[in-house]
Amino acid sequence: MTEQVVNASDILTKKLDGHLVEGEDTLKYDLGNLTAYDESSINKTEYRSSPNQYIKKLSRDNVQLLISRLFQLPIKEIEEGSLALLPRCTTLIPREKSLPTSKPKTRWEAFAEIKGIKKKKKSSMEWDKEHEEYRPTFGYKKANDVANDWAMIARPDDKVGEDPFKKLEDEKNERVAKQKKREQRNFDEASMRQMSNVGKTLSFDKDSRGQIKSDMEKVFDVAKLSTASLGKFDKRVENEKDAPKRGKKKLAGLGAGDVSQESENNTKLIDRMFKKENVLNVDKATRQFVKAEERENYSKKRSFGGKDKNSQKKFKK
Amino acid sequence: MNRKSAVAPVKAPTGKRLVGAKKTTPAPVPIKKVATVTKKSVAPSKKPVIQQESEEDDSEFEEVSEETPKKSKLIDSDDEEESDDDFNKKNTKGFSDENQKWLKMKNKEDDEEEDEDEEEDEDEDSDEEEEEQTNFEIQSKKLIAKKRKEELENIKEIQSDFNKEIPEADKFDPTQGDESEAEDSQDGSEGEDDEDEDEEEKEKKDDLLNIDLPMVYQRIKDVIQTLENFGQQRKQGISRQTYMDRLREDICTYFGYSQWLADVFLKIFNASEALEFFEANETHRPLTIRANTLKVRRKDLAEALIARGVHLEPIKWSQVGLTIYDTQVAIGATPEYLAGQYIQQSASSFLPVLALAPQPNERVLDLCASPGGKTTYIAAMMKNTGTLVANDVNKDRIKSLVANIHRLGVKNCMVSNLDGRQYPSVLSGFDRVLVDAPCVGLGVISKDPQIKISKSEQDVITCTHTQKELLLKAIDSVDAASPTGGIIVYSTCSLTVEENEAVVDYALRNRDVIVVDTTIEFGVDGFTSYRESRFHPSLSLTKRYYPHTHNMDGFYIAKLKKRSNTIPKDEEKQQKQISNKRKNSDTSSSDSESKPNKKQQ
Amino acid sequence: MRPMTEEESKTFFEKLIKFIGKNVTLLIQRKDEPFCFRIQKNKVYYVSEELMKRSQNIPRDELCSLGTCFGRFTKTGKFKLNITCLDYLAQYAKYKVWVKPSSEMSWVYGNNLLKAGLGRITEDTPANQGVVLFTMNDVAIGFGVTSKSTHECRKLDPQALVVYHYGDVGEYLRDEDTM
Repeated sequence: MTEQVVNASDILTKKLDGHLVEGEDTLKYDLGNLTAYDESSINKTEYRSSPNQYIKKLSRDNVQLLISRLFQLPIKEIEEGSLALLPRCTTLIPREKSLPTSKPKTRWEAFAEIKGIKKKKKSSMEWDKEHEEYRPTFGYKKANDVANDWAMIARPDDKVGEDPFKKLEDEKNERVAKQKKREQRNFDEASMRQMSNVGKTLSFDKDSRGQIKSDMEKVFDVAKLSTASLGKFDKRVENEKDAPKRGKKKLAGLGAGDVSQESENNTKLIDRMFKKENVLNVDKATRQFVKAEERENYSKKRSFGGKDKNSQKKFKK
Repeated sequence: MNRKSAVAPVKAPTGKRLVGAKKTTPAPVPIKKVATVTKKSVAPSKKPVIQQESEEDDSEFEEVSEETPKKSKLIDSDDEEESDDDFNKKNTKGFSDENQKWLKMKNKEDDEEEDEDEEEDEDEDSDEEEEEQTNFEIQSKKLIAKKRKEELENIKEIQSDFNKEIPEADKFDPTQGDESEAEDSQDGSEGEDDEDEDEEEKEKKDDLLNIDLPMVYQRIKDVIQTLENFGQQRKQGISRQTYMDRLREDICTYFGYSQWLADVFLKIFNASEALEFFEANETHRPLTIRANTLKVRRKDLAEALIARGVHLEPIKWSQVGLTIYDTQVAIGATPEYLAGQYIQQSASSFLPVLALAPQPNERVLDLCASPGGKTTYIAAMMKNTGTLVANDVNKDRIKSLVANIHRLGVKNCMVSNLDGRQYPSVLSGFDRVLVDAPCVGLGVISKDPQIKISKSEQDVITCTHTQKELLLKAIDSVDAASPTGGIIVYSTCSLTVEENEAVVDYALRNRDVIVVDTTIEFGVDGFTSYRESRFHPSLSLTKRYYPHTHNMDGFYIAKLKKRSNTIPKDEEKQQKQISNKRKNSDTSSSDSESKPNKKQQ
Repeated sequence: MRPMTEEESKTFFEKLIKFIGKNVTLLIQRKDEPFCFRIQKNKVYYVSEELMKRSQNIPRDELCSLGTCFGRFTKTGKFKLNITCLDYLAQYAKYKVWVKPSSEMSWVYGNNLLKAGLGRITEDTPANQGVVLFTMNDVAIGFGVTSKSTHECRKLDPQALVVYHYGDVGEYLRDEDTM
């Protein structure tokens, strides 16, 4: 069974006969997805006689039909060749990714929803009477900006010695600060951050002390790991502890295995621990050494002493 | 005046009345004790009482009636003819039960003579003390009012009791009693023959005033003797029932049992045996310990303890028990004890384990394990092999159980804190199960005399219910196909037939089990018939133990063997259901429909 | 009930090794029956595999004890040996101290052991070493940590501390509630 090699040139010159499918086209097409569905029933007698052959033939015919349909589509010529313009997909394919979650609402949004307040669209540009032109409603060089006026109309409730410009500025700063605070609060609430105290002014009263401490520790642990090497090559302070592993410990799988496996692991663990430990009993060793030395000295002394005595005796003699 | 009087009735009845009350009817006895236990408020009333003694002469009557409207109805408006008697009577009526107790306790010392003296003095003192009393009076009045409300019901009961018993007492032949008693009763009755029953009641109480316990004891003995030889020694015309009633009342008086409890024991034992039993309950059982064979041999332990100055002797029927006669050291704090070489355990609690006879490498369940004496014994018999499951409902008692298990070096045991009735569903397929069921504890009265009055028939009924449930669940937890076991031992430290034979009989009827011999040589056979109830004849194989015969706590042991895992009751139910279905299908559909309709209508 | 994590095993064995040294392996790999360590409500239990498997049927909250309790983990993650493991410690102890009868009761009441009460001691016991204490009749009554080595003990005066109290059998009575 050698494969027949067909050259491209052969195909061009050769007249391919019988490749087109005869008979009724019962397929349903979704050309946008390059798909065709064959809903006709299987010819049982044919299928039973030779299933493989039957399926192969059916598949070939259907693919032929699909492809000939593709060639009937409007064609756009480009440099590299020609492109068929596919129609819109008719089959709905399930979404690959989960739906995006809606943004958490700010306090105002939540409140407005309850109250039924709807946002009014303001035009971004506004007519500036003084300059007689359209200017932005908000921001730099905004329209009708009182702060930019060189003079302000005095009011009956003005206080003597008060700078109205300064007052205006202060009020604005206050508003901005307040908004910033709100934003922070919304952010905290939205992200449900554990470290809600971070970036806030801390109150050091008794109640919040525990919270501050735990927050500090958490921040510290995070900071330790916040290097390119995740803190691996950092120099350690003496007695510095490992950063605790955050997150839920996985205990679920524990104990599922065999007890023998477990005891083997334990044995290995213990072996490792003993390798570290100094097997030498230093006390005992030094004591033995000292004892041996003493004994030696003693025996030496004795032998010397004996000699001395002998010498004395000799001397006496 | 009212205030004073309010207090006065409390005090007024001196020793006579109180003792009398106590004697005439056994019923008040339990109430007194209950009150002492529950109410501390009684105590403060003593003071005012003492002070007010002086005033009693003038004021009492009105006040009394106010205080106790109920009782006052009963009293005729006798004027102050015989000041002593009337006064006393009225006061007695006025008593709430609590008063009686403390009065009795306090006034025991007071004799009649003192009473007389007091009366003389009272006149003189009264004026001075009136002022001081006001405070006390207010307080005590409040107290009394409070008590009265609370115990109103009790009083009613007592009264009803009195009424019932009076006729019996009347029937009783005075000659039976002692001379003194007879005299007293005569004295009482002489003056006031005409008075109604209530008054007579009081008199009876008066009679009892002079009672002394030795006489009661003597009378108990006499009655028992008569009962034993009833045909010859009885007085003509007096029924056995009358004698029994007298005996029961005397026992209640002498030993301090509630009437119900005395009755229970008089039904279980014959009269003379009952007396032995009651007497045995007054003495303590010898202290026994069990050598922990997981750690030490009995011989070695005995030697070690003797060296510490302990006098002991081995228990003959046990391999591991030691009886302690005398000791110079705390037996629960020697180093040997702490090291788990022995455990303090009553001799009776050896027995269920001996009957259970657990074997090594078995699976055993102890359903009600605390405080662990039996559990550790089981573990010792299993030699720390196999699986032992100890269970107890009570979380506090679990602590001592766990401590004992660890102290004695039991390593094959796990402890669960479940209701025993959950058991077959949690864990089953045991070879042996021990059910030492929670009980009323009538066998351990010597350990806890409180039982004499604190337990009632209701307790037995509730206990019996749980016992039956527990035993059935225990039987379900056992695997009948176990090659070595399939044994259930049921034991209680109670003596009522309802808690023992009746429970086992119930199990026999509802599960496929048989009673087998406990393999313990001594003990009294269980009842097969008791009064109107008849039990399975094999219940004679169960064993009872009594304080007076075996010198150990009262105990009951039944050993059961499971024959198959099927539950007969279920089968019956199923069969019934099946048969019902068949019937339904047989009968025409219209019939089956029409029946429920009728019922609904 | 669950097995120990590796971290927990490490703290646990470190403590155990102080008392029985390398004999720990004899506990882990037993010849007669497979045994294992399990944690239940912060307590470490040493239990045979069979019993452990049976106990899995009992609801976690209601399981009060199984096998032998070796001790418990504190909230800070340290391990504390409990007196209930004395049986095993005594069996495998490397260093032993025998207590004179006169000092038995003092030790059992939770006091440290003085030189006066020291009956015998294993030769070459180093300082700060976990030891198991016995009466002169060889009944184990607790465990502790030596303050001095055997050698140094000889020169001490009678009132000097020899063994720091760690656990004693008196705890069976004193601490019954937390067993």
